[in-house]
Amino acid sequence: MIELILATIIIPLAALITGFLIPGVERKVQARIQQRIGPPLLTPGFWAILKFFYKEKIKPNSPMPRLFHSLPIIGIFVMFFAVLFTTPEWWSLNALGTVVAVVGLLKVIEFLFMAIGSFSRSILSVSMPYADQIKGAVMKGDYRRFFEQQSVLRAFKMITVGSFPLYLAMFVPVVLVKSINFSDIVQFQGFDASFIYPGGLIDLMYLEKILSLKPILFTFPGMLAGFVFFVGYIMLLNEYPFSIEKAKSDVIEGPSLEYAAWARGGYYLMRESILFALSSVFITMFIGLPPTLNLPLLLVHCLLCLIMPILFSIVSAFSPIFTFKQIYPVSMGFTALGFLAMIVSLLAVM
Amino acid sequence: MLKKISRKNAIHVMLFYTGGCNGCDIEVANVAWSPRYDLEQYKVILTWNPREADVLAVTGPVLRRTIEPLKKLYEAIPEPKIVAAVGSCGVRCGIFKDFGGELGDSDEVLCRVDEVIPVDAYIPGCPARPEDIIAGIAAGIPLLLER
Amino acid sequence: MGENARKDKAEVEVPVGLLHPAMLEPYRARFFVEDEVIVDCELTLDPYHKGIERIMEGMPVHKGLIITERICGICSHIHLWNGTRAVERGLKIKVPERADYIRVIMAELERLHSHLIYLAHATEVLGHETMCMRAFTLREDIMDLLYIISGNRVHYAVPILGGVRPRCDIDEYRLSELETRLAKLKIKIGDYANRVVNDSMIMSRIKGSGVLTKEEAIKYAAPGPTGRASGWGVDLRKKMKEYKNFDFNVIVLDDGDNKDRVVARALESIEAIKIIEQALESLPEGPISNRSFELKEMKFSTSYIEAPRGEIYDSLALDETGRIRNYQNRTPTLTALAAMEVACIGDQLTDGMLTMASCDPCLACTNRAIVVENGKERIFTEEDVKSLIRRGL
Ligand code: SF4
Repeated sequence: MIELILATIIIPLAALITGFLIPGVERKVQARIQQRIGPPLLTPGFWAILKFFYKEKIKPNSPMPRLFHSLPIIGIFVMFFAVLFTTPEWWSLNALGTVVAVVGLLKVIEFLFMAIGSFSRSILSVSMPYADQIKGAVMKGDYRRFFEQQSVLRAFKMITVGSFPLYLAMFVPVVLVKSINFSDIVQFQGFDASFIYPGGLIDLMYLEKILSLKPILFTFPGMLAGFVFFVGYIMLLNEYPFSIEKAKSDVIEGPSLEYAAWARGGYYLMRESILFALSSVFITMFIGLPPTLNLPLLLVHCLLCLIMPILFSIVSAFSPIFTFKQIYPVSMGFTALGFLAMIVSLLAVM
Repeated sequence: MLKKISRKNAIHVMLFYTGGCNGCDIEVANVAWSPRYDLEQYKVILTWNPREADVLAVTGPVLRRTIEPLKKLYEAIPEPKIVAAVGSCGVRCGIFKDFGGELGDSDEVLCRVDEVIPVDAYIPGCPARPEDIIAGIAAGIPLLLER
Repeated sequence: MGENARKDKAEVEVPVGLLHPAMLEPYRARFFVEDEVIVDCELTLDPYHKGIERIMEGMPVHKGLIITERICGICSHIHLWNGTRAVERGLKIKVPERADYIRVIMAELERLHSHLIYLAHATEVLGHETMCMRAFTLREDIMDLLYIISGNRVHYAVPILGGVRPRCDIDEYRLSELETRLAKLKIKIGDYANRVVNDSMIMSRIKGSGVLTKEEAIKYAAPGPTGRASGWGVDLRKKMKEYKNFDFNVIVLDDGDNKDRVVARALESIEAIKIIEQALESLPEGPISNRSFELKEMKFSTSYIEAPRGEIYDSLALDETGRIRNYQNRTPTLTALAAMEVACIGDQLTDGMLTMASCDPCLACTNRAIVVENGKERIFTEEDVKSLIRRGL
C-alpha cells in the first residue's frame, strides 16, 4: 500500500521534471540543425510555463470558459494515469495495468484536442474587427468558421486516419507475449521482481541488469512496430510533418489559440505530459523497463524517454507540414507496415 | 523572485504591422528567423498569438484600417505587457506625416502608435537595425519585470 | 469573377487575416471552403492604404522621390529608380553609363534579396523552418553587400536625378568584396535550390498545387516571375536600354504551379548574380552623375521597370518649379494576388495559403487604390482592375 502511494507521488513528479526538459531539448536539437544557438534548455519547457502562471488571469473568448480552462488539467491527469498504469506498483490493481487501458486514455487525449478547439473563439479570424463583408463578394458562405473549428475538423479526421499506426504498433508486443498485461510484457523481456527493490541505491548491478534485458525492440517484428509507433507518436502529438491540426500557415496554433495566462501554461504542461507518457509507454513496452520506485532505474527510464523527442525533433526539422493529401497515403502506408509487423509477430508466436 | 526570473527567461514577442513600408517588418522577422541574429538565444520567442505575447512590436504609423485591430490586439494581450514601436514610422509616423506636401497629410494616416496605446520602448531607425531591435526589446525587459 | 466554373454558394467561409504568420503583411482573405477544399477566395487588400500619391502632390521632386522609396521596404531601390527614371525620361537628362551600371548592380542585388525573402517566406509557409532559416542566412550576405555599398540595410537611396549618389560609388574595396562574396553565394544558392527541389517531402506539397495556367496568367496580367513560371515570358529587362549590355536568360517555366514559382525565383537569382558579375567586369570609368540639368515644367512622363516581383509603373508630371504633380504608381502585387485568387481554387486550405505566399505578395506598395464615390468608399473589384490594366498597359 505504501509503495502504491509513494509511486503515485514520485513517478508523476519524475514525469513532470522530464517533461520540463523535453521542449527545450526539442528546440535545441532543431536550433542546432538550423545552425543557430537556440534557447536555453529550460526556457521553452519550464520558464515559459512558470511565466504564464504569473500573468493576469483573463476571461477567454469561449462559450464555456470554465470547462475550456479545465480541459488541459484533465489532459494532464489522464496522462499521469497512463504512466502510472505501467508501473509495477499499480499492477496489483489488476485490470488497469493493461495495454487496453492505456489505449483508452490516449483516446481521451485525442478527443480533448477536439473539445478544446470547439470551445475557443479567438480574435484572430472571424472576430477581427475588419470590414470585409461589405465589399459584396459574389460568393457567400453560409457560415463563418473560426480557425479553431477548422482545426477541430482536422482533429476529427486525424482520429480516424492518424491513430491506426500507433495502436497497431502497441498491439504487436501484446501478440508476441500473448497477454495484454504490462506485467507479462515486461517479464517477457527479462524484467523481474529483483529489479524492483534490491538492496542499495547506487549499484553497478543495475547497469548489468538493464543490459541483460531482451527488448522486443531488437526483434524483427518489434523493430517494425517500434518504427510504426514512432510515426504514430508524431501523428498523435500533431508535430511536424503531421501538424495539420495546428498548421502555422493557416490555423496558426489550432485549438489552443485562446488559452492565456495559467491556462496556457496548463496547455503546455499537458503537451509535455503527453510527450512523456507516450515515450514512457514505448520504453515500457518495447525495451521492457517500466518506471519504478527504484530511483536509478527511474532515472534511466526518464533519460530513455528523451530519445523519442530528440528523434522526432530531427524529423520535424527536416519536414514541411503535410496536408491531408499527403497524410492519407502516409498513414495508409504505416498502417500497412503495422499490419506487417502484426503478421510477422503472429508467425513468430505460432 | 521566481516571478522575475521566469519573466526574464521567457519573453514572447508578437509583431503587428500597422502600415509601414515593410522594411521594419522584415527586419523584425529577420531578427527572429535569421540564424545570424537568432532572437531565441536571448530567450525571446516570436509568436503570432496575442494571448501568448508579452511584447507587442508595432511597426508603422496607425492607419485608418488598422487602428481597430491594433486596439483589439492590445486588449487581448494579458498583463503584464509592453509595447515597442519599431522604426521611425512607429515612433513618429516617419515619412508619412508632416512631410510637407501641398495637400497636407493623407487622411488615411491617422496618428502615432503612442496616441493609441501606451508605448514603452521606442526603436528608431528607418529601418531599425536588427541590433537595435534586440537592444530595444532588451531595454523593455526591466519594465516587464516591475509590473 | 463570374466564370461558369465558380459557384455562388459555399458551405463555409474561413476568414484569414490581418494578423497571420503566413501573410506577414496585413490583408484579409476570405476562403470559401467545402470541407478542406477551396471553392472560391476573395481578397481584401486595403488595410495598408496610406495615400502616398496624395502626400506626394506638390512636393519638390528630390524630396518626393524619397517617398517613392518608402513605398515598399523590400524593393525600395527599384521604386526610387523608376521614379527617377520617369523624371529623367521626361526632362531628357542624360545619365552617365557608370551610373546606369551601378543602378543595375543595386537592382540585381535587390532582386537577390527579394527572391531570398521569397524563398524564406514560402518555405516558412510550407512549414519548413529549417529551409526558411537557411534562406535567411543566405540573405544576410546580400544585406551585408547592400550595406557596404549604400550604408543602409533597406532604403539605399542610390539613384538621384542624373546619376547615383557619390557615397554609393563602387570603389576598389566594394568591387573586390562584391566579387568574392557573390562567387560564394552563387554556389550556395544553387545548392539551396537543389536541396529544395530534391526534397521529396517538400515537392509533394508544392508540386501540382496552385496551378495558374498561361491563359489565366495573361488574363489577370500576372506579372514578373509569377507569370514567367506559368509560361508567359515577359521580362521588361530585355527591353530596357540599361540592360542591353548584359547577357542573361529569361527564366520561363511551363507548369505554373507552386513548384515552378519557387524554382523560377531560384533560377532568377542565379541569373541576377550573372548580371552583376558582368557589370562588375565591364564597369565603365567616368563620372557617376550628371548634375547639369534644370528642373522645368514636364508633361506626363512614364516609366516601366522590372522589379523583383513584376512590373512597376510610375507616371508623374512636374510643374514649372519642379514640384510633383499627379504622381501615379502601379505595383505588381495587385495583379499577382488577383491571379492567385483563381490559382488557389480546388486546393486544400493549407495549400491555398501557400499559393497566396507563392506569388510573393508585397502589400505595402499595393494598397494605394481606394476610390471615393459619392462620399462612400469603393474598393476596386476585379473588373475595375482589369479595365484599369487595359487602360494602363
Ligand atoms: S521606419 Fe522606414 S523602414 Fe520602417 S516602416 Fe517606416 S518607412 Fe519603412
